[in-house]
Amino acid sequence: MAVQTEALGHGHGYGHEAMTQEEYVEQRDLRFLGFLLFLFTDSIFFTAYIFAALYLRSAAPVWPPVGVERPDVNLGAVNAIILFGSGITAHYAMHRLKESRFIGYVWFTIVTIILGSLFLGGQAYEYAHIHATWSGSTFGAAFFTLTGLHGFHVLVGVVYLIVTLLQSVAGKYTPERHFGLTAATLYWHFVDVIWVVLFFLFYIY
Amino acid sequence: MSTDTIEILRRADKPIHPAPESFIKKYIFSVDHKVVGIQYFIVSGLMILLSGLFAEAIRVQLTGPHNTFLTPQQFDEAFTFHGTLMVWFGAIPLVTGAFGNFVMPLQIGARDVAFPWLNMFSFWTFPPAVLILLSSLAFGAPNAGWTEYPPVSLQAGVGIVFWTTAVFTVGIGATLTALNFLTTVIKMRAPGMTFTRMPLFVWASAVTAVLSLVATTALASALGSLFLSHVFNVPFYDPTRGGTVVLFQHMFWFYSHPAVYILIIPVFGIVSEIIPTFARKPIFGYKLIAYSTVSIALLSFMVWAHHMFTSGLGPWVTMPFMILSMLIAVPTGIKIFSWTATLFGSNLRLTTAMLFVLGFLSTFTIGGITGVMLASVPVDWHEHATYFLVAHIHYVLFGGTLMGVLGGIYYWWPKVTGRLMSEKLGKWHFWLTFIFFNATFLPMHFVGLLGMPRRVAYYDPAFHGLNLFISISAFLLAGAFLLLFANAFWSLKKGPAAGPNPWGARTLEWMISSPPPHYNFKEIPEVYATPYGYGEPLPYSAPYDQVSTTPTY
Amino acid sequence: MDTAYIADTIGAIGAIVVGFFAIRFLRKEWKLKGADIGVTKVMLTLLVIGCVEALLVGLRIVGQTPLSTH
Ligand SMILES: [Cu+2]
Repeated sequence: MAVQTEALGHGHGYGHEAMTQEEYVEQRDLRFLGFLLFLFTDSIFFTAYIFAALYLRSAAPVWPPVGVERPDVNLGAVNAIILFGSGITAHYAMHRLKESRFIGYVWFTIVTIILGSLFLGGQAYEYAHIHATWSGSTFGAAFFTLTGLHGFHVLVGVVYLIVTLLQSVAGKYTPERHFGLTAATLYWHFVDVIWVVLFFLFYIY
Repeated sequence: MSTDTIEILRRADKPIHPAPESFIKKYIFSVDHKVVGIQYFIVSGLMILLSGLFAEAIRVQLTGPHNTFLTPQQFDEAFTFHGTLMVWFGAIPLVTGAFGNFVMPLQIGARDVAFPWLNMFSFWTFPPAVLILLSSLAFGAPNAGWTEYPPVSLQAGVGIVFWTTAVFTVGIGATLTALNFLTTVIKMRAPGMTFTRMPLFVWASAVTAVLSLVATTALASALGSLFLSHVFNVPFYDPTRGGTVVLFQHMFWFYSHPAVYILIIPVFGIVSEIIPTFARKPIFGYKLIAYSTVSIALLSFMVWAHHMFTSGLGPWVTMPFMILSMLIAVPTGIKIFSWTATLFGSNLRLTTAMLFVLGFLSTFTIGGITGVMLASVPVDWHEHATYFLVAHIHYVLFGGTLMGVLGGIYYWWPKVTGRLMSEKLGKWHFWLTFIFFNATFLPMHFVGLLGMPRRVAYYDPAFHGLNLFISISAFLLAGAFLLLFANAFWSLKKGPAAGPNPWGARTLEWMISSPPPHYNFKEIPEVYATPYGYGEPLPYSAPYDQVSTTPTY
Repeated sequence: MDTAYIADTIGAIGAIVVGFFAIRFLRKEWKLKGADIGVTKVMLTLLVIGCVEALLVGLRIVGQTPLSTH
């Protein structure tokens, strides 16, 4: 005997406004796990190129190759600190929202966006002044591919933060429901942390 | 974050999404995992057909030692497209996108995957990728084989740019599917279904998803570097500027060895479902099968350099890779012996699905043994890039993956369509496939051992007789597939109604009507044990414990 | 005073400030539980390491070799 199957009523699983808080928490947990898996797979993407950079380094007699120079480490450190600092402000913004201090959240997010943009500007300055080209050497190949990929991630992060800011001004996020913000903050931390590795790889090691 | 499993989505009044109303929402941009699975099945099936046509073109060329059916250039393009289409556009979407999507959520007692919309998006990366790949035929098609090693791949026309873009795009879909499946298996299992109560196909799908998350992204970076090398002249692989081509082989095989397991682990899952159903016995060594799947997945990330034994790596690299590669035979052997032990002393019902699984067991074991041979460095030096290698991969991927998938098609067809297939036609299909498969690929071992290189349009006339035999068998092997299409059309038009559980199986997908309603389970069942306890009452809460498990067919 | 010295000073002071806040957050979150907190802890720890990197560069302890052989 088969189980009788008859049509169910039209209950919508999605649609933020209609959800109870329990439903929201459940959806949020699902998405959080999915988002973590996304960050994991994204980190593999970077890892593969970091491996490639180390491999090319081991194949070169001197590193960086003759005639190629590393980017300026002193300015690089300042730029890195700008990005790391933006991670702290993003974290503050998140906490302000959780504590229902909306104005604080807005200001800290704006500062984060500015710091992120400053970092991108610093990268552009570095690209313009480095004595290496993408196609000229393996150092350049690794440097521009990895920092370019990271820069793209920062750009996406800045846009992501701007979008969440506009959404929250429109009233989408509340102290109880703000998964989009959690994801954006987490993504921003991720971008920061990748730079910890890349900074070591290209400026110090 | 608090809850470990979902509660609300399981409530009887909360299907995960409402019933689709328009044609487009129902069949084209559907978020229903069952429809997405069928969509994957159709497109990847077409890709396998296309890939088979390329293979037949290769065999036509090789009917004579100096045939002029294809130019050497066209021959290179033919084997490149055969491999590319079969691996990324045929077999992987078939075993994950099609079987995983349709069967896995049903087996865990869920109403859909965790992110239905993302699932639809994953599928819709697939057709554009196919179009991009095929359009490369018009712009200097890639011709360095499915592995596309530089520098050869960078010397062809702009086709390689299309090729990398296409495989990258289909990879995005595969990664998102993996992410989706893993979240689904972790969060959406029916209450009471602990990890060690999951059906073995679910185990296989979850492990494959993990492999996919790591490996497909690594492949994306390899493809990206090839793309940059061609478009922006970046010197990753140019020795004159300090690059090295061996780097590509590392990046490529770090993906592509696990990809072999992305291809075969879901099939292990399919086989583990079919065998106990037709043996009418609990599967032998449930936990051994599950954990050996996990250990195969772990080992698969440590063996990639066995594809590079002839690339000039030192013995301190090749020796560990040789030992680790041979080690994979242990967990694989555990599975083979567990399945054989399940068959031992059983009252076996030889349906078409079961016959294909028996075919799988024998041919895959042969492929596994030649795999151990090739994992040995001195043997590989001798056999690398000969037809012995071609024979090995086809025993594993055709005799393994495709044979198991055919078994899966015959097994789940009644669940998907609600109609039975003809067992008579199916048995003809099996025997013709099994005989001509071996007739095609067994002699390749011999010509390979005699030294015939692969990927060359011409060959020594001394190999003519065997090659002609192989080609004729290959044509007949392709012909056998017509029986499958005939059977499918007959079943869709005139097949008798299947009923919910024609095979008397015990996993959850057989506890509901065929085809399942769009919400799958009106009430989510509770699960009390593994599904393989043949001879015991069903381990599900009412009303799902009322389903008959007596085979009706 | 050339630009490198100015940059070093800014970098070192910035590293100390950012590192201080990162450690403060880390201490606050240490006792809390939950999946998102766990991930944040990992991220903040790595951020502290990044600040140490920048500090060492600012103090001219690492990163001053233009050409390295290995
Ligand atoms: Cu391999």
